[in-house]
Amino acid sequence: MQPRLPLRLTADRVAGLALIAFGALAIVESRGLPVGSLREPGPAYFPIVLSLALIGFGALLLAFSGGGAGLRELGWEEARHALLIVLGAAAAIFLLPRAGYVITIALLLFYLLAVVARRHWLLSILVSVGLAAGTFALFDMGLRVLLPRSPLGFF
Amino acid sequence: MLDVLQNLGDGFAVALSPGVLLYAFIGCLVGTLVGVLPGIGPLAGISLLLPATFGLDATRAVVMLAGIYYGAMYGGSTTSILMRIPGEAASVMTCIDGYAMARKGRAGPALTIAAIGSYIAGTASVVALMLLAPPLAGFALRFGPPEQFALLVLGLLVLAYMSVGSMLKSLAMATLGLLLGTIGIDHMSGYQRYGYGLHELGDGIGVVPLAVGLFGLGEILATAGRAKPPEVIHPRFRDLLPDRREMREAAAPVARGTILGFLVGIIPGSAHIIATFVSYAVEKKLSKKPEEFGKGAIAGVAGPESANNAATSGAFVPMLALGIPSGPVTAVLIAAMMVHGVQPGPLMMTQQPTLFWGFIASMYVGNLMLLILNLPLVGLFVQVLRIPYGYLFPAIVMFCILGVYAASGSIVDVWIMLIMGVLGYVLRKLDFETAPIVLGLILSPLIELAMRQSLSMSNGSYTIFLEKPIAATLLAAALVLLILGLLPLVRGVADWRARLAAADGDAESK
Repeated sequence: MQPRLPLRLTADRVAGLALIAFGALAIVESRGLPVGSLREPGPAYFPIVLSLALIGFGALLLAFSGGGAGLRELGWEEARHALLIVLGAAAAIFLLPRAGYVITIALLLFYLLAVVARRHWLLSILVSVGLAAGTFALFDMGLRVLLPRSPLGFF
Repeated sequence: MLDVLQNLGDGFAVALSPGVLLYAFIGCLVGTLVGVLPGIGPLAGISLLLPATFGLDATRAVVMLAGIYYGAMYGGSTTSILMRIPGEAASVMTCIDGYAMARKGRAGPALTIAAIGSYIAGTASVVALMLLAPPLAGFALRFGPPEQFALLVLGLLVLAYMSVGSMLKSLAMATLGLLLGTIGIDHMSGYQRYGYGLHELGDGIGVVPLAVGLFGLGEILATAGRAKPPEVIHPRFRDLLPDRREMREAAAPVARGTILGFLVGIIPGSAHIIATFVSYAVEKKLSKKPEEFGKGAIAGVAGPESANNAATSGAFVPMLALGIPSGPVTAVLIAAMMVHGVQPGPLMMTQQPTLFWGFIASMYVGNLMLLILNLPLVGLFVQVLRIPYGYLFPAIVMFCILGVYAASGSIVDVWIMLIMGVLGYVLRKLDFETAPIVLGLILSPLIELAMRQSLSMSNGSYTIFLEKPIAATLLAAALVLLILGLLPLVRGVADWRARLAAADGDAESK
């Protein structure tokens, strides 16, 4: 007797499962809100209808996704770079209200230029500081878009 | 008709007077800059500059603020085409083919066609505004909640049906967008939905963080680490202008976008955005080469850009004729008029003819000014693409953060942008289109309100959607699209999307 092959993990199957999971999560999260009636639908009515639709679409995707590319076959060669950019951006967003705009953006740009894109460090410093200070001058001082200041009160 | 021409002549006498002309120019210039800068859309631009008009008379103030409005619409396409960052929501569709054209070295023609299309649409729709304002505003008033609900549902299904990828996936993405759009305070009951203690989520997820994340950051995550990153483009001077073939291919989309944009613009709601989505979908369906859409089709830039600008004039119809704002920008413009002692509405034409016709005439002048202003700047904007990608992508990441923060001043919005960037990257890998998410998010509050109001009107009976002729017709069209889209999937046969994708794959493998 031949052993049963495990179900192949295709992109569409993963997407279908994710849609079902997200729809189910939205229904669970709606439990504290009134559903209301047909005459007077409550705040949970529309989200629940949408969640059920999302679960339905996920199930259809699962049901009709026989073939399609496997998850590993999609080609993830850029994923490491993408992760580095996401980590850098996340650190910058965390720092932005704490260290101020100019310091945070200069650090982010230096990291992306020198570490991720591997540009020359001196040029990276010049570009980072120039862009951070230039955009601060244009947006904050020129257009009066209030950008976060450093704890020292400037920049 | 003679009266209209005579009034228009008087309007031009006002619009061409040096004082008004100067403020129209200032408005157009500031508007273009506001549109080019990511994160500062027309609403923020007008709101920031409103106090600066307090010292002016009503005509100059309104002409300048309107100049900022349509100037921002012109400028908004620039960052979409060059960096794939939509300056504001109405530029989302321009990102797709405009950026693809830029990557092929055709940024100049994309920017030029966007400017010319915007000019033609802007000017033609002012003629329509002038002639059709009263009857069209009356027709728009016949759209009650059931008709609005049906129209919005049809809009979503049209987009899903026209998408080259799977209709099922597009519908799933539109539903995801609708679901994300329910986050925030429910305006009918006051309940906070899915807020998790963050008061910043009270107004829901903003369009700017969502669109910048999905389109701007998502693109960078997908391309920055490739073994072969996008090439640096060195456009030559002769490449800045569209060739004869591109002009020919853009002509019909500009005309269709103008008519469509104007008609959609009249209907209250997020008219520009809906107009651009519908125009893109229509152009893709009518095109002889739909496989080029998403890869740099000039019709994908010409149609939505024209629709966007025509919708701007369309939005003035209910504002001027009835005093009803068709969106947040026209609401601020009405507020500005009221500050200057002018009450927009049916009596404005008779009580303030100088202001009304001066305003109409200034729109002709303003559109011409914008064309003259924008065409020479195309060469300057395109120089951005000469920057090596290793330097360009960090700058785009910076503009994504800066643009989202500048738009709302909220760090939570910047976190949302980052999450949406990751989501956009994953969805690209899984072959999902992300544009329906944005449309779903924008339409969600409108659809929900229209649905709940309709059900309240009918004591909970869904038959109200079938009893109203306009609503029933629109919903029947939506149903036909749904069946046409899903039937091939259920029957296991290839539909036009699958055949297109297969042909596309064959072409790429050759």
